Amino acid sequence: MSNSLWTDALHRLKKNKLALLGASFLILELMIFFLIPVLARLGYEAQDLELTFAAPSPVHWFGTDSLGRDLFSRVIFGGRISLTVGLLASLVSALVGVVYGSLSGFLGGKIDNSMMRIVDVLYALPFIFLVIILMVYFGRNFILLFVALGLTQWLTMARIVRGQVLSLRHKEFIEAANSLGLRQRDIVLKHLIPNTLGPVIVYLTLTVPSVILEEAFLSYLGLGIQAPLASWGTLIKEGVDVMDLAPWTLFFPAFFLSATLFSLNFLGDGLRDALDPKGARD
Amino acid sequence: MNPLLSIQDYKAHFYTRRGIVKAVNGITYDVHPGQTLAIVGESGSGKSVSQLSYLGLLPSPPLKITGGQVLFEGNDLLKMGEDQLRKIRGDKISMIFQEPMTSLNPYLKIGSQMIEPLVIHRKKSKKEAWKLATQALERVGLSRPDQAMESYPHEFSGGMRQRVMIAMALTTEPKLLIADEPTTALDVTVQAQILELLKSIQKENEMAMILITHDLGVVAGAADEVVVMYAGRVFETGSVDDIFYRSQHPYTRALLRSTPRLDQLEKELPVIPGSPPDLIAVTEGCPFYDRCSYQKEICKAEFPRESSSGANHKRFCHVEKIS
Amino acid sequence: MSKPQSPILSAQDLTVYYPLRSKGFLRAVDGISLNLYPGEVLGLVGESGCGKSSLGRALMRLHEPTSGTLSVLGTDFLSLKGSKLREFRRNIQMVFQDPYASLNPRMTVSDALSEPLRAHFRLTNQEITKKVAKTLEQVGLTEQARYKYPHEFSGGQRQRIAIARALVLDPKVLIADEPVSSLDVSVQAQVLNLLKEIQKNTGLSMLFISHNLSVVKYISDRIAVMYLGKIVETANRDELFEKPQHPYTQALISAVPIPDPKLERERKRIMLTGELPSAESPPKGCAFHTRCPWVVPRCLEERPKLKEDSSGKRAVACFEVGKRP
Repeated sequence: MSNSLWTDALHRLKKNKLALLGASFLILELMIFFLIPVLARLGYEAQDLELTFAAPSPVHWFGTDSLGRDLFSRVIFGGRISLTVGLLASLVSALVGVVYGSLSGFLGGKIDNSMMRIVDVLYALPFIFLVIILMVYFGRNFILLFVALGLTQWLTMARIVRGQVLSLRHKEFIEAANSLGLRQRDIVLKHLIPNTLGPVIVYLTLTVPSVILEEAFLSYLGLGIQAPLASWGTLIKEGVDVMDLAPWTLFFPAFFLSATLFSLNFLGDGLRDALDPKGARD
Repeated sequence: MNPLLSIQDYKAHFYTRRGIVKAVNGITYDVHPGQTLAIVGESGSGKSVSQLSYLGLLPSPPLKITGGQVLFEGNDLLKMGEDQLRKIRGDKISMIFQEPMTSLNPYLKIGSQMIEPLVIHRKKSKKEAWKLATQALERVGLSRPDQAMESYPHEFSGGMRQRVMIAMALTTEPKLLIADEPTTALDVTVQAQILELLKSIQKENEMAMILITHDLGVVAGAADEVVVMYAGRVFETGSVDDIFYRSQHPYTRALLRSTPRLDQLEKELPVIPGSPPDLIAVTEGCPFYDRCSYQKEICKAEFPRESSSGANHKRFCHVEKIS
Repeated sequence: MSKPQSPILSAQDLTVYYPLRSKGFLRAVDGISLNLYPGEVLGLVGESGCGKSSLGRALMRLHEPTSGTLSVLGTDFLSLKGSKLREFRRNIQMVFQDPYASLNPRMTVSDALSEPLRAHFRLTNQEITKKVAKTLEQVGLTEQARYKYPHEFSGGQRQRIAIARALVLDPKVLIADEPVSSLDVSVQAQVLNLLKEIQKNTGLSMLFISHNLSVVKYISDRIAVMYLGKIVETANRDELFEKPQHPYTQALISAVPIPDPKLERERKRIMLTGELPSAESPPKGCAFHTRCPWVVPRCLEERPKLKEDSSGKRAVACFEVGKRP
């Protein structure tokens, strides 16, 4: 009969039509991309030089590209890469951000000050250029890509978490935990962090689209994913080059990228509203 | 004497995602010139909403005024448009609130804020208005009014800020002052000063005052007439003596008995069980039913009609006689 | 109320100074000595800015005192550190003002009450369940409350949960910081009665902090009056109200409104002039002299000490006491 804030949030989320739309699209997409590989039976690298730039047909649902590769399969594979990179990089950023932010907020004082000044300095650096430089220097390593992308996002996460922790630290229930003689470690793990999860989850769903977009951008520049692998970014690049000739090569990847970004944003907005404790009793 | 303000069966609801909040559910009472009417009630009683709503001070939607009349000097405020209401607000009807810090603009000098109503409503020149405002500050007991006019709100203490609020509210010599928990955030020693001040100003200006509060002690000292509200309804109205000495309503009596008094020694405070209801779940019956010690079948089904307990002493309760 | 026993809590010259950005300090608690005796309810009353909340937190070491000594149950509380401090904490607990902020919104009642038990004792799950049940009963909540979250309760009920959490470790001292000030008037009496009952049944020693003199009168055995970081008077409850000696106490009692119209019409109030000075720049000499009706030149230079009278039962900090009505 319990009615935790999570179940309450889920309930409120369900009422948000846009968020549901977004969530459904994402679930469908994930299912198709990861669970039904048979749909991509034509393979993303199989070339058919006789059938280059073919318009969509019953065989090639999305048509083919400049090398006769099945666009549908490439969109699916590209999607897998884009989504995986997006998700994993975001998780990296979340982990670093949460740990850094909680420590900074909890320890407070001079330590907090120095930690946040470091964040400020890092913020001022133009990350994308750094990533580009790294990529050019170290070569285009898949792991490097996602670490680099993850590191662009942790700063804001750290600030958010630190802000939450700071405001929670002086709340009476934390004072109460102290006066009850609980260990600092337990206070941070059981009282502080669970109460910061709301904004963390919301920000996470908003980080993923940023990262996907960044990856797309890098790939567009030729610095991200390498052929024959594909990501939506590379596909879009290829599509732009032959836009007049075969518009479908641009349309499909662009559509999926946009739709995914929209869905993540709607979901993120919905989660933010749903997890807002003030709304619980309306 | 004709009432200055006459509220008749006034209803105001909030339409929220969770449901309809019947914040004000059919209230009726009058305010006479020069009199102080205290509206006493707990949180959720509707006492503040009942005044803020008819002056157009609450966002609507979600607020919707769903019935009744609010006659000020004979004219129905509910039928007026925003322009007309604005002419009355801050001029003939002034308000002061609980948190003087949030009612004053922290970025403007006190003087600039004080001359506004005079310039807008009474068409005074800035110079004239400045003079009048300075005089008003003196009237409310600020020892260096010229200096005060040039100061900013954060330079004052809570009590001083409330005095500034009162001065601001009085510059246009309103006929009616609505004070919403004016002393709740103040220390009790400062509270006494502010209430004294309000009383003397009232006498001087023949001004009527609606005092909204949850503090029965303040009511006893400041009010001429009292309205007891609960969950959007009026339970009892009458003179201050009627309510404190001759109340025939279970809620009023229980409230009086469960309030600790400085002049009495109690072994144990009688208690009202339960808590004030959720305003979305109110029924057609009496909202106090669950907590009342005189429950009758009919109380659950319908809200009682007005009955008289004396000249001008009205109550709303199905129970005939409270012992 | 004879006091040959030794106090269960004793603070001597306790101070809490907050450094200000501009030079100087905010003297929230400016040299306070007080004793809490076993089984008594000591009311601490004062208006905003007097430092009573700071004092409460200092006594709990939620904020470390700047100087002074504090002995609880015979132990030098201020010298405890680390795990010894944590262990000792179960002897002195606090109930906070805001029932909405003092409970972790993501913990059930059962978790909130079991957590301290697990942190301090080695008990089996069964024993913990039993103890939680017993404590819930003590505060008038049913078993159903166990698995619910704070937001499912009303303000008064949340305060009961907070009280239960404070009691679950069977503390000897309870500090209640404005426990009913955030509650509706009709609910305040419930929680006050509950505290009174619990105190009587368990023999708990309680420090009850509030700005509401009527509430303090109802629940306390002895009362201490605070003004701008200092205690100006202490006395047994009845004596304080029958014959308040300090001019501030007199003004305070006189200012409290009483829900009785006739009385209000007839009473003569002692009106204080001026405003409360800021704690950041308190007046020199006696902190009250700027508003005091009895002020003499000495008050502007010297600070009066809290002096006990001949019976040892009352203490006042004023140069003019005894010379005035």
